[in-house]
Amino acid sequence: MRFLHTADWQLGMTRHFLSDEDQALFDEARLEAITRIGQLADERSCAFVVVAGDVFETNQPTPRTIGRALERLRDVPVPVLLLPGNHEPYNPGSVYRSRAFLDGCPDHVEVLHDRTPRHPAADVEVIGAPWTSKQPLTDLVTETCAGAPADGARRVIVGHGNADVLSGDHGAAGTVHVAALEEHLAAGRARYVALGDRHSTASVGSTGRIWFSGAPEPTSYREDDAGNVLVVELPDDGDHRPDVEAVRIGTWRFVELVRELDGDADLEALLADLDALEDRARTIVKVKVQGTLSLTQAARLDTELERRADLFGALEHPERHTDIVVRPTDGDLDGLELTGYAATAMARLREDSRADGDLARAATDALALLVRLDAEVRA
Amino acid sequence: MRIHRIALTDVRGFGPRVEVELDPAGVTVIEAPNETGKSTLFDAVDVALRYKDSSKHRDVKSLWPVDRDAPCTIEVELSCGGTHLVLTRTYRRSPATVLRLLAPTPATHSGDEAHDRLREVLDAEVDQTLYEALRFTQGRDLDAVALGASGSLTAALDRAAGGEAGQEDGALFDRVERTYLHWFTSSGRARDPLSGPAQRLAQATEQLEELRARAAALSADAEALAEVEQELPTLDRQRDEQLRPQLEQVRERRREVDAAKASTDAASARVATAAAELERARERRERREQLRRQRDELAEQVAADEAASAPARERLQQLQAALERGEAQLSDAQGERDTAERARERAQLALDLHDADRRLEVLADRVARVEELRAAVGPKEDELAAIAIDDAAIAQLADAQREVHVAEAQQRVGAPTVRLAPTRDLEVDLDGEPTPLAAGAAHTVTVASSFVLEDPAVGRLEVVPGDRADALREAVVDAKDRLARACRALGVDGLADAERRRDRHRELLGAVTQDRRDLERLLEGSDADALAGELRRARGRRDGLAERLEDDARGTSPAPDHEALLRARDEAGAAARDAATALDAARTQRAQLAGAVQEQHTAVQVARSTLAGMQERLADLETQLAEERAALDDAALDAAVDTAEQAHRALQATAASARAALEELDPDLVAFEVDRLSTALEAVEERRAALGERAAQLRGSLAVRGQEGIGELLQAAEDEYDRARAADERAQARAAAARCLYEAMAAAREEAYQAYRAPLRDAVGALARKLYGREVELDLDDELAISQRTLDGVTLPFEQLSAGAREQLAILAALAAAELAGEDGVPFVLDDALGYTDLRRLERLGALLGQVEDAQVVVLTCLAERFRHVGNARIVALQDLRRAAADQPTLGAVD
Repeated sequence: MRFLHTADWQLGMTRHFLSDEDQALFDEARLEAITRIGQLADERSCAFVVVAGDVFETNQPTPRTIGRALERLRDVPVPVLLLPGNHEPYNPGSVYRSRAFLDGCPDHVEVLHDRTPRHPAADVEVIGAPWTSKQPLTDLVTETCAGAPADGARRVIVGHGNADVLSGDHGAAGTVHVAALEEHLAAGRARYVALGDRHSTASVGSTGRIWFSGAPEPTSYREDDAGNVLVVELPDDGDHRPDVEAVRIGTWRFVELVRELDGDADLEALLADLDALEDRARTIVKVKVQGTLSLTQAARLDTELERRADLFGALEHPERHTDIVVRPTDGDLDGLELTGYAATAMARLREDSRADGDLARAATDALALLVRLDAEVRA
Repeated sequence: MRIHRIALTDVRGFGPRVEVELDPAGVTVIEAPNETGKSTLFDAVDVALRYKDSSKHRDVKSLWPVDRDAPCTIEVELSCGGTHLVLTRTYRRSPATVLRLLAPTPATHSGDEAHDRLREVLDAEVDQTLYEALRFTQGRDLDAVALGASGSLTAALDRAAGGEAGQEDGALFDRVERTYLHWFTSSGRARDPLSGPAQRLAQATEQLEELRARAAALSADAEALAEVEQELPTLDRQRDEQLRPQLEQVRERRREVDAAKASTDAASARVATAAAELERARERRERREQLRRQRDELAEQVAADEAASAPARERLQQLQAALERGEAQLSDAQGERDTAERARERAQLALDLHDADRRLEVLADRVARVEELRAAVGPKEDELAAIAIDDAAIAQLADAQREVHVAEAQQRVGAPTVRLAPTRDLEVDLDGEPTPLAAGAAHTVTVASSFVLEDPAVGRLEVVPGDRADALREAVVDAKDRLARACRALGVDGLADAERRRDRHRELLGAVTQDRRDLERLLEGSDADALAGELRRARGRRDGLAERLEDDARGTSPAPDHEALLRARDEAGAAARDAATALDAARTQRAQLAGAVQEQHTAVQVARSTLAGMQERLADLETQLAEERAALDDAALDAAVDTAEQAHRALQATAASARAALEELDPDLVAFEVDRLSTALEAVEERRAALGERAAQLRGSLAVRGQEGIGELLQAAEDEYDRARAADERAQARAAAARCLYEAMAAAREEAYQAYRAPLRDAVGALARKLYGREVELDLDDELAISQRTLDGVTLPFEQLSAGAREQLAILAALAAAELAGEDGVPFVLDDALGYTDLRRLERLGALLGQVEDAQVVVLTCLAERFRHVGNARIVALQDLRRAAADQPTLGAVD
């Protein structure tokens, strides 16, 4: 018996660093992921699909977001079980109780809004551990598993929440306590626990039965292995571990380039690394640099990043004055060949730039501006 | 820039090539008559340096020769910075440009390339502002030369002020200023590029806060609904599993209590009926007993009252007897009082008669005296009436007498006087009166009227008075007549007689007045008739009194005198008053007795009436008692009471049993429990209803607001906020940089201008002192133009100086600038200038020009003589050159 495990679609998510056009592409990619999941389920003969929480980014998405998601779900050829997660708990204000969702929800899509066992296919039982509030007081997953009979049945628990073994936080709301959960698994209460919340694919514990599928499309720089779904094979024999295969379906990626810049060579290397990135239209890059740059180098960095900005899904600049230190150098200013009062003004600004605080910042920026304007005048 | 050479071919009036060489450092004077092309030289240089060979600009066309269709060629050799070049431009026909670079690196360019290279060199090296400022042409505006915009000059001044030479800074400053003004207005307010992001951030913040509030409200509603939905089943369980079953149980117990209570109530009702019956029997027996007691008591009271009424009747009889005696005493007292009263009246009558006699005597005496006085006064009044002389008449008479004396005196004085002293006695006729005149005596005769002196021996002497004497005499006669008439009127003989008669009048008047006063006193305000009437009435009264006394006091003799009469009357009055007092006492006593009789009588009557009433009531009681006993005798009544008491006790025992059974059921607790559970159930139902309503509201609200997609809108708002904040921070940083740079440059520029002013002012001042030959001070404004001149202590603004002075100062300023700019400077061209300057100053100016070393000065003049004081100037006679060129064999029009 095979099914598909996914989670954290985060439909409706927006990113402030994306332009409107790129945001639209970003949205479309995550809707497209639903379609690919449906195709994969069909290709791999999965009996059903479980989505382990955070289907929506918020409990109040727009009707447009709901409608488009349901439209994609309609095309998935197998039953789909959706679990309310921490982003959209099944409370009275839940998206799953909204008119837009209820009216448009296809018959083969079911919300696991309580712990009632479901049977999406023969010889398998699925029990959801839905979030019903933003702050659950207990370990919902372990609690749900504990509530199942220790009968060795082919039972899948679908839950949501970070695992204590990964986060190290045992007290956070909704944290899954893996050791306790494994005891229940060992007692034959379930054969597989499909988890969501962590956007990177991971197996936790020692049993090979507890998995985070990760998000099908990445959502932030912190994720190290996002963009996968899991095809899970549950053998007839309960003693055998499930066969879990991570299948990559993600198309976007987040890249964080962290570099030390201390001169032209470092600068050139950074630009080369940027230029070497592939599929840049669906790559979101954050350049984090540290070090000291001259005015000319800083201006060049700004200019070069600006020039490449449109090539990427998004290109986040380093914050001037926080990530890098800009120091006017002789080389920056000698080339200006200023005389008279302009030379006097420049000398004073340079003196100010060596101080600390806002004055130095403004003086440095003023010198950078002077370099640029002088170049424009000369041109 | 230095111009070394200019060559023109077919430019305006120039025909064949004319070449003029200029001194690159020093003065070149180009002399030529008017209208022979001096100005064309530099106009051609301007065009060649500026316009491409293909240009049809009007400046270019203005150079075309008008009389022939020939190529117009201009060749200029110049040096600037380190570049030395020769430019050849041909316009109009076969246009061409050739730029030959001689230094630093020899090269040749042609066409547009040559033009571009030329502009490159000129833009980099030539201070266009200064170039234009140092072109002095005839009729140029005499405004002060503003050199502030000249880069090369400021560079030179910068050097002079201790700075460094460098490139042109004006363009950079303009760019910096434009950048500043991109962000800020000139007054420092933020412009759109700066305020726009701030507004966007404010809007984004507002939007974000609003959405957060809406999301929070939605979230709160969801949580509230969750709580409601959680509470509702709890309430249902409480209602269905606890409250309702418990309530049913206690209601069953209450029904038992109700039944027990009904039994108790019925028993109690029966006890009450028996008790009422018993009460009625007892009351009947009590009434019978009471009736009997009343009858006995009343009978006793009737007997007692009858015994008690006898003394009262006896006392009444005693009082009636005393009353009869009192009435007899009263009658006696009245008789005595009447007797005394009559005695008193008689004594009074006697006294009155006595008094009337006395009064009659007095009145009669008064009447007699009145008559006497009236008889005496009558003759006196008659005499008095006969004498009508009073003091006024006397005075009138005295006046008449005095007038006679006055008239006579006037006659004596006013009439002529004749004094005679006869020697013998004579008798003269004086006014007809013979008058003797004794001898030896002197006689004076007043001639009031004629008089005659006759002496037989002497004759007759008649003296006749004049008119005056007549008048005086007549006055005497008139006065005497008036006196005589007055005496006749008064009936007297003269004044003495009149005075006698007046004295008699006075005497009579005094006597009459006294008599009248006496009479009035006697009459006492009345008159004689009234007094007589009063006398008659007194007499009548006296007679009346005497008659009454006579009638009343028959047998009694009148009292001897008034005092005795008074005493007798007072004694009789006292006796009468005593009798009256005794009478009042008798009356009082009789009245008291009559009151006591009446009172006692009334008491006796009341006692009789009361007794009669009691006897009647006693009869009624007897009758009532007899009737009651006839209906039920006393023994039967006692038996009925006993029977009722027994029945009542039996029913009380039954009721007590029922009450005990009821208490056993604890009805209060049952009632309390029913109330408690009912209230609790109602509260649960109310809470359910309220929660249901609240849930419906919340669901409705969530359904509506859930469709708004607030969560996603909030995300978008947060993103927009982040973007807006970043944009705002970027704008702030850029604007801050622009401001910082602008302020730094503006401050430095201002300081530089302050520093520039001094060297330029010193240079111009030094030239001015040479020109004017005395102490002169010049001030420069911000644009480095001369703003005012102080000469011999008199300061004038530049605009108020004479045209000559303005022209000279402008040229001095330009000359100083040209010298200060040095190698970076441009040619200083004087084209037929100095038209306003007098010869003396012109000479000095020429001498100043001759001292120029670092600058290139070109003087274009029609009179070289004007500039003969320029020491080592190169003199170029343009006409000679043109003539020489014209003499050259023509090479042809072909290039």
